[in-house]
Order: sequence, then structure tokens, then C-alpha cells
Amino acid sequence: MKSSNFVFLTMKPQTIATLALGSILFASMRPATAQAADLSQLTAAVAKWESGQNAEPLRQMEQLARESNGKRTERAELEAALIQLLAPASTFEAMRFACQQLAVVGSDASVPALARLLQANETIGIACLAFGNRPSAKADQALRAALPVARDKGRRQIISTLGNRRDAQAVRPLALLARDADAAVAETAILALGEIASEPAAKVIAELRKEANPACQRAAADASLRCAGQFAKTGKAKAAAGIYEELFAPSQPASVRRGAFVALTRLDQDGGDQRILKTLRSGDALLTPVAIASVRSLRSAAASETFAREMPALTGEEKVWMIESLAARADAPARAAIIGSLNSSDARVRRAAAAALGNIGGATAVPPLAKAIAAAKDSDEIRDLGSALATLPSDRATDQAIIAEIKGAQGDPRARLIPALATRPSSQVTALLLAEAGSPDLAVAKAAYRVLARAGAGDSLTLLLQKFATLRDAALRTEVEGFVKQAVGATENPARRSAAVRDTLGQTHEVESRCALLRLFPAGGDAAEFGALTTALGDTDPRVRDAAVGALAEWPDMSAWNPLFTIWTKPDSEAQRSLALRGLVRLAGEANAAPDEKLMARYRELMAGARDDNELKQVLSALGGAAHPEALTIALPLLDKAAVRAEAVAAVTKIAGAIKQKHPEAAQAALDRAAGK
Amino acid sequence: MEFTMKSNSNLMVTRRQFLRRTAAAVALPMIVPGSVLGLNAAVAPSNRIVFGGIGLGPRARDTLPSFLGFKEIQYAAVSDARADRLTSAKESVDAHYGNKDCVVFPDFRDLLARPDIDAVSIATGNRWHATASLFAAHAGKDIYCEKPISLTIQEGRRLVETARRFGTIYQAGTQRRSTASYRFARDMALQGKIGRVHTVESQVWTGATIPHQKSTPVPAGWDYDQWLGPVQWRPFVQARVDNWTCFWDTGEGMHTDMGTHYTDQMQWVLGTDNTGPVEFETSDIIWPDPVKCMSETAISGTFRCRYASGIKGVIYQRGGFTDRYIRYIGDEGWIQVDDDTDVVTANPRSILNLKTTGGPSWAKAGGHIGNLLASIRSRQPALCHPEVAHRAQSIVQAMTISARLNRELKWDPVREEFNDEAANRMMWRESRVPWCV
Repeated sequence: MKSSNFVFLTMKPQTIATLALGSILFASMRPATAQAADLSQLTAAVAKWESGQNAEPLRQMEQLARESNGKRTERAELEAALIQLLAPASTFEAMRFACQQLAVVGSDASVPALARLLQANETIGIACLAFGNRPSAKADQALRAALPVARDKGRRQIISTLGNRRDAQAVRPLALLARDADAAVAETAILALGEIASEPAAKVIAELRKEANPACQRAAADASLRCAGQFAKTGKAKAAAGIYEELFAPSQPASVRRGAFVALTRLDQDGGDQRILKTLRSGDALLTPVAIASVRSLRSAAASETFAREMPALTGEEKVWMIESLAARADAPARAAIIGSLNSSDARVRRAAAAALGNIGGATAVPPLAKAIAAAKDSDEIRDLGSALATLPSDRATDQAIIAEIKGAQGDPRARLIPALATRPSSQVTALLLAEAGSPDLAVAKAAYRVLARAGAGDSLTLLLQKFATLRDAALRTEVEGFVKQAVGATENPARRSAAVRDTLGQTHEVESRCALLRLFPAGGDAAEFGALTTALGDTDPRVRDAAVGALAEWPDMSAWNPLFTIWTKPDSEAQRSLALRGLVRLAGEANAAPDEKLMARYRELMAGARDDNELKQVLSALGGAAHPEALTIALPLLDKAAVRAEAVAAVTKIAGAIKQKHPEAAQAALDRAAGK
Repeated sequence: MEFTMKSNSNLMVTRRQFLRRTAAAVALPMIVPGSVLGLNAAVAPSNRIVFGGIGLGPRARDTLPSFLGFKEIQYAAVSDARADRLTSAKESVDAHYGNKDCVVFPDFRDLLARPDIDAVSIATGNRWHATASLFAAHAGKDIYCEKPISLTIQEGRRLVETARRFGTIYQAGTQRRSTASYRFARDMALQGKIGRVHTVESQVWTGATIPHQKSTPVPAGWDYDQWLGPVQWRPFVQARVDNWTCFWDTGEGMHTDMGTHYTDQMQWVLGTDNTGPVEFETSDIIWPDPVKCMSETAISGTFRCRYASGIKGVIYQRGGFTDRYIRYIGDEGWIQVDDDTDVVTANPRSILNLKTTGGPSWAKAGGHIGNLLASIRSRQPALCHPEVAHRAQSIVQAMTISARLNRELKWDPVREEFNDEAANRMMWRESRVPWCV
């Protein structure tokens, strides 16, 4: 313990033992006697303890409890101290603390003192706490002895504790109390009898059920269930089944009937198959779902086959539930039944079957799922089936089965199957995807690129880029460019990623492909790529130069500022100027996170270079996010320019709000001016 | 029991009033479909599941919109020991439905007595979770209950047995099983993307310390007896009530509270939902200074467990609220979910390229509630059914017992017993009547 001035931490066990013998007479002669005095003092301190006071004495006593583990004499000494704390002179909180400790370390030695606490309603609870869960005939006896004199909640506390302790000798007094005029007492006693769950207790409860006192019926049913459960656990199956059969009666509450039904299936010699079958065929609305849910845990080998045969007679919702139970069994007949359900005329059933197959997995699930995907018309169902296929855990057989299905499919079905490869990275999968990316079927190619973007990056990035660079279909290239950019961004090794993009660009001569590759550069964004990009700014083909400017405008860091500024001030075209300003404003906005003088200088350059109101508005939109007093100075003059006043007011207000803590006067003055004061 | 709390609501019903009314067979207005459905409801009234809320503090207010978002749910009643929370929750529910029909109950037993209520959402203080669940199951209701599902190991086992006895559908509020990021991490671990998992590491935030404070009279508007619930009586201390998570008998500390989310994930990934580790130990535990503080639970520490397979689990209690995470470590890499941001990281990073599905973070409980609703209809076990929840919970509880005893413990997950008598005794605390069933 961190905060420990605990005197007892250093105390030797033998010393404590000696002290326990009352050797205080020799205090002046033996060093240990001082520690005996400490124990006495500690007990005295705890005895006076109340909330609000230093808790160190309590913690010290807890420490003693830990330290005395396995040391009989020391433990006895400690228990004696705890017993002292149960004296009337102690505070209630001290007694409560002692009872908490006795629950862990107490023995029969403390029973008499605890029995005294059972005489007062205020302390019965903590006494019961102290008895805890330790078996002790003396404790049971003390509780039984206190029962006749205890009243109200105190009596119920004792009853409850006797039940929790499963005191078989308490059955007789509890049987009387179970018929008490006070319904709360009776209910507590009945439940206690249920906890005891001996044969005499069960007999009493059975009689009580027949007496039909409405106030106690639920307690009696619960107690009976407890008894039956105990009987079932201890091999008294016949007695248990007898109780459950009674509780299964239609007059019983739904929850009692459900509980009894499931318990009976567990006791049935056939494991419950016939009972469940009978219930399914009865159409009992309460028990049919319980019966179906029970199928999941049936022991018989034939269960899946037996209940799969019942599927046609079930409603759609019930079929869904049965599929869930069969999926939990996951044996061959269950699997076959679920696969068969993929052909159901009920969409809910088909989708439940797909989800179940996804969960139970295996290569054999692939062909039926693939077939269902090919046949499906509804987009939601196609998605669910695809998701089930993708969910199948990756193993060699499953992956091979999916590849085989893809190769055997054509058109849309082929495209729908390809996403299932996303979670199965392997060289074989990558090779297949690259081949599919070259498909003349645009849906297939697009699907392959989408998967490659996620799973095919890394080692296969160069191959992906080369495939991308050979694309001649402009529409497809536009569609898949985002996926390829995603793959570039997801590649872990920056050097390899950069080299792959630059090398591919170097080997590509077709202009549109070069432009598309240049647009990938910001996804990586290292120095070598930046160099290649700036080189492309001088390309002879204007389309390449425009693509390079566009990529520069998306560059992830400030290294793009100067070239962008140059382009903005001396553009080849208006389009380039517009792109460059967009990039500059974005970079400035990102730099607002840490505004400094350099950034302010950049804003001033932008303001000075802005050619029209539209450009001023763009700059103001970024400037408003700069929490810097100089930003106010830059923005304030624009309040007088009518065409941009609205944007200037917004910027000034935002800046002033951000800096008002540190620069209250400047902020207020700016706000006043923005408000026209 | 007669409650003295005052309310302007004419729908406030005391326990005694309720019993009188039901005894006289004068039924409270049950859910009248036409008045509660609204004009655009797509779900037939007979198909709707009627919910009541028990405990309406901050966590309940977080999840209430998720419940109300389901047209399959009719939120019909609320219960809390605090009058202010009752009023506020009723206003929210009524505002959602555009009526005044939500009934308030100071005593949750009265809510449970309504036969038209099918299920309850329990978001009380931790001390109440298991007890309220036991009462609800006893009353025949299905249950959504926030974690931690119990405060002691035997209380958790009792919950499992009670739910089994009544065929109760129960969903623990360990929503991360319904969260895409966590599912992805699990799938990757199960598919061997990080090799064989040998360690599951997680982190919860540093626990608070609460300075000493004297007891005072119970403030107006409080039903302190019900607030305490199953906890044996102790004097009212405002700071202790406000910071109940820092005391053994009301909260068991941050590691036990939050850690269960991660042990739940660990169990899920390791496929050990019906069993658990075999050893527990702790180190570096920093406890509150008893001179200055009344709080009891650890400030920080390291809590470890080991499965029979040799796989290790470790929970660090340290750092800030936003630093919590779970990481599966295998012999070929690792994958981690940052709980605050829901961001998944991994080594090798290429694992992340396989992430196909997005989805709301754990903070949106809709998926988890949806799973419960489906289970209520089908009677199939919910994702975090009692056995699953109890096994995850008992791991952090065993770690806590190890920390409190300051010794390594061996655990038999079949018999659910320690090799240590004191530890076995700490698996149970006697509940206070009338708050036990």
C-alpha cells in the first residue's frame, strides 16, 4: 500500500501471538508489548470511527486481516479485536466495519457476539453480512434462535439469510412463516425454502402452491423451480420432472411455463426432441419460439435433420428462428437445411440463411451463396448475400472456392462476387484481381479495382499502377481513380510507394494516363514526388501542366506554397490561377492551427495579390480561422469595401472571438467596428 | 412501504396505492395502442415490446434515445429513487411520443407489477444491477442491464440461474460485441492475422479519490433506503453517494466497472464464454491515502489473469479517461481498438486494409438493443446473455479480490471456487431486505 504508516506491517506473527495471550503485564520488559498496546489502541480507534474521520485505523485492521492469512493464532487475535468492536460502545460504522471483516476472517468464535447483534433490528443486517457464505452450524443455529424474537425487516433479513445459507434445519420454522399473515414475510420464507431446496422444503412449497394464496403464488412457483433445479442437479430427475410438469400448467405465468418447458426438455430421456416436436406442431404461440430456440442445444445427433424437416410447416418468422438454431448446431444436416433455405420464397428466410451461412463458414457454403447472388434481384438482398460471402472466414479451401466461382461467373454475377476477395489477401488473389481489372466488362473491372484499392496495395502497388496506366476507357479511369488513390495512400512503405508512382509515370507516355498518375501524387506526398511534380509543371503538353497544378493544389504540406504562389501570380491560364489560389487558401487554412508571423505575411501577400472581390472573399474565408491579432489588422480594412463587407464582418467576428481572451481590447474594438459603432 | 416524495404528476403511483388498485382489480390504464402508436407507426401494436426503465441517471439518459429510436418499442414507464430524475425522464419519453402517457414509479417493484410491461432497461447504480435484474426476472420480464452486471461472483451466478429458471432473455450492456470496430478486431484475431494470440492487454482510467466527509441527514427528494438497495445500511454521506463507484459495497472501483467491457471482449475472442482464467494476480496497486480519503477502491494498478491455455490477460488501471483501449497481441503482430475514438490500429498495418465494414461506435447502443429485441421475439439467447456476462464480470471481480487480499489466487472455473478461503468468502455479500428475491 502506498500510504502506509502501518505499525503492524512490521510486526512478526509470533509477536502478535504472544500479545494475544495477554502479556501486557510484561510491557515494560519486552519490546513487543508496545505493539500489543498498538493493537489495543487500534481497536479503540476503530471503535470510535465515524464517516468523516481518518480511515487509517480501518485500513490497518484490513492489513492485519490479510497478513494473518494461514496463521491461526494471529487470526484469532484479530478476530478477538473484531469481536470487541461489536460491543455496544462502538459506533454503528465501527460495528459495520467489523462485520465486513468477519465475513472474510470470522470463525465460530464470533458467533455469540454476532448473535447479540441479531437481537436488534438496526444490527441484524450487518450481523447477517458477517455470517456471509461460510458454512457454520453455530451460525445457522444463532440465526434460527433469533427468528422468533425478530420483527419486521429484521425477521425477513434472518429468513433470507437462512435461505441463502441453505440451512436444512430451518425448514420447519420457515414452513410456519411461509403461511404468515404478513405477505412479505411469507414470500421471503417461501423463497428461502426454495433456496434450501431439500425434499422437506419442496414438500412444504408444494403444499403452499395448492393452498393458492394469490399473494404468494409467484414466490411459490419460483421456489418450486429452485427446488426442481436442485433436484435435477443432484440426480433426482423424477422429482424434478414432477415439479416442472406441474409448473408447466397453462394457469402458470408465461415465464414460469417457459422455464419449466426448457427444464423438462433437459430431463427428457430423448434429450427433449419429442417434446419440442410436439410443441412445434401444437402451434402454441408462447412456447413455439422457446421450442425452436431449444433446438440449438439438443444433444441427439438426429436433431438437426428432425427439425429441418419441420421447416416447411413453420411461418416465415419461425423459419428465421429455426435457421438461427440450426446455425448454432452447424452440423451437416443443419448446414444443408440452411443452404436449402437460400431458395425460400420468403426474402426474410433467404437473408437469414445467407447470414447464417456467413457465420458458420466453410468452403461448402460458397457455391450456394454464389448461386444465390447470381439469382438475386433485390439490391438489399444482393448486398446481404455478398456480405455473407465476404464474412466467411478466410482459409485456403474457402478462398479457392470463391476464386473458382468468380472464374465461372459472367457479367454482373462476376462483379458481385469479386468483393468477397477483399478480406483474403494473397498473391493468387492479387493476380486474379489484376486480371479482372483488365476485363472489358466495366462492372467487373471496377469491382476489381475497388478490391485492389483495399487489399491489393503494398507489394502489388506497382502492378496496380501499371494496370491503371494502361486504361484507355476515360469513364472507367475516372471511376477507379479514387480507388487507386486509396491504394497509394494505404501503402505502408513511403519509399516504395513513391518509387512505384514515379516509376510508373516515367514509363507512361499516353497523356491522359500521365495526368491521372500525376493526380495520385498528393496521396503520397514525399519530396521525390514533389520534385517529379514540379518537373511536370514545365511539361510541353498543357494538359500535363494543368494536371500538375491540380495535384500541387492538393499537396499535403507547405512545400507547395511557393510554386503555387508563382503560378497564381503568373498563370498559363485562368484555370491554373483559380486552382493555385484554391490550393493556397487551403494551405493557409490548415496552417491556422498554429498561426504565426510567417502565416500573417502570407495572408498579406494573398490580400495584396487578390485580383478581384471573388479572390478576396476566398482569402477572407481562410483568414477568419486565424486566431492571431495581426489577422484582425489584415481583415479590418476590408470592412469598408462594400462588395466583400459581409465576408469581412464574418472573418473579423470569428478572429475577435478567438483572441478576445488574450487581446480583449483589440477584439472588442474590432467587433465594435464590424458592428458599425 | 409508503413513499413521501412529492410530484405534480398525476401518474405518480406509490407502491401501496398500486397494490390497492390492483387488488381491487381496478387496472391502471394499460397501453392503449391508438394513443401511443402515433400516426406514422409502422409496427403493429401487437408486435411491439413494452419497456420500462429502472434507474434514470446519466447512463440511462445516454441510452434512452436508442430505445426510443425503435418503433418496435413502446417505452411505457420509468422508475427511480430520485424525484428529479423521474420527472425529467417522463418529460423525455412523453416528448418523444407526443403524449403524457409515461407512468412514473418511485418504487421499481410497482413498475414490475404491471403485466403489460414486457421488458425493462436497468441503468441504476452498480449496486442495484443484479438485484433489479433478479426482481425483473422473477416478475417475468426480459432485461437489458448495464454493466457491471453484478458486484460479487455469487450474485452473478445467481443471476445466471434465475434467468435460466424463468427463460429470461437478458442482454448485458457490454455493447462492444455489437460494435463494428471490435468485431473487426475479433475477426482478425480469430482469422490468425496476428498469429496465435498470447496476451490480451487493456487499459481503464485512473480511479478517483474522495476526501473524507461527515454524514448528514438525507436530503429532501431522496429515498435513501431504496438508493442503498441491497447494501447493508450505512449513514448518508453525500460525497460517498455521489461517488459510489469508489466504494466496495456500491461500486467496486473503476477496474471492476469498466474492465468488464474488455474481459467480455477477451472472452469473446478466446472463445471462453462458458469458462474463464485459472489464475489471478495484481501488482503496483496504489490505494487511496486513508488519512485524507474515504474512498476504498484502487487508484491505479495492474491486474493479471492467466488461462489454462497459457494465454494472459492484463488490465492496466492508469492514465486518463480517453486512454482506454484493448489490444490483442499475437506472435505475428497485434491489433488494438481505442475505446474513446473507436479507431483500430494494427501491426502489420496492412491488416487495416481488410476492414470492410464501418458502423456506429459503442456509444450508440442501437445495434445491441436491436439484438435484444430480436432475442425477445425469438427466445434465442442475446449476444451478451447472463452466462457470457457473468463469466466476463467474474474475471474482474476475481482480479479485485486478488488485489484486496494482496495475493495470487488460483481459480477453478468449473466449480467457480478459489484455492483460498478468504477469497471464496469474498464472492458473496448478504443483501439487505427487502431488496432481495
